[in-house]
Amino acid sequence: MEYADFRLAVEAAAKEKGLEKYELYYSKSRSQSLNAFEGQIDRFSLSDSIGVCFRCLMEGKAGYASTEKMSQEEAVRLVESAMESARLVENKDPEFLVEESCSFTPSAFSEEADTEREIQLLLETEKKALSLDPRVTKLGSCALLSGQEEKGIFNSNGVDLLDRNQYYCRYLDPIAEEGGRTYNGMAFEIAREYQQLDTQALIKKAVDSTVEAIGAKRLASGQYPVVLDCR
Amino acid sequence: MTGEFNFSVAEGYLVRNGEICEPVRGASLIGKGSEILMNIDMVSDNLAMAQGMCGSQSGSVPTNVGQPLIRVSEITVGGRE
Repeated sequence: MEYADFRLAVEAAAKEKGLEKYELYYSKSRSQSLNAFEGQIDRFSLSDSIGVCFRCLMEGKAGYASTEKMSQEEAVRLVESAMESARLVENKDPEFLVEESCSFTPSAFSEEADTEREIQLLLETEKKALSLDPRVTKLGSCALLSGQEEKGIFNSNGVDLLDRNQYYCRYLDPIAEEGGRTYNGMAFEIAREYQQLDTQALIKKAVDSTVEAIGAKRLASGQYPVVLDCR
Repeated sequence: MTGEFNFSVAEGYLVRNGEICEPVRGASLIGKGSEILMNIDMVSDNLAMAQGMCGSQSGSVPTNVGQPLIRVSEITVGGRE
């Protein structure tokens, strides 16, 4: 059952029980992590999580219940559990719900996650990064993290808010060798949309930051004027 | 929270006569944030902001950070003896 339907089921269950003051908080997220090494995906993780928390007010006391399953039966159980919790609570701190009515629903995610596409992108990223400069011999990391998150809060006073976020984060850590020494560099990019990822720009930044360090000398300790760049 | 810091320099260069010269390695910047802010003596007009995520086990939140290029008149740089 999707959140919109579950919310209706919770509203119906609350009405059935005569419950007038309540709120529902909902969170759903998906995150994926990929790492490429020598032409293969050597690490892959995928995490899906969902949770709903229900809070009700009865005679000034708050009761709570939560679940990770959204179904008709669970909607009823959630309301009953929270009401039971409110009856048992001894805390006398003042409790309230947000009074001001407000509503916002963001646009849907522009695209569904596509693991196969992301794997191909990452393998291509590694291959291109290793071919840009012969002094770069391997990558310490070549990773792509991506995720989608949806959060919502709804209450009996007319608050009805939904928030959606989506991100991609790609990270490169080239290692260069010259004169018996190794040099590390790194670059990363963060994007809201898959189409915003720029492979060439990322690779150039990562490889440049690595090979530019070749021949670096140690500096004598001391007081120096220092320029801090925002690159 | 003392504001003291000790950062290793990931990418750094010597500057001579306004020119970026050879790279340096193994350097660290040591100081106190509040004093560094008071020692900024030049600020560029190239302010750039970037979005990112700041997160921990409890979740992540979108962040927006940035700065122009700045010069600090004096910072303790740790390097070789």
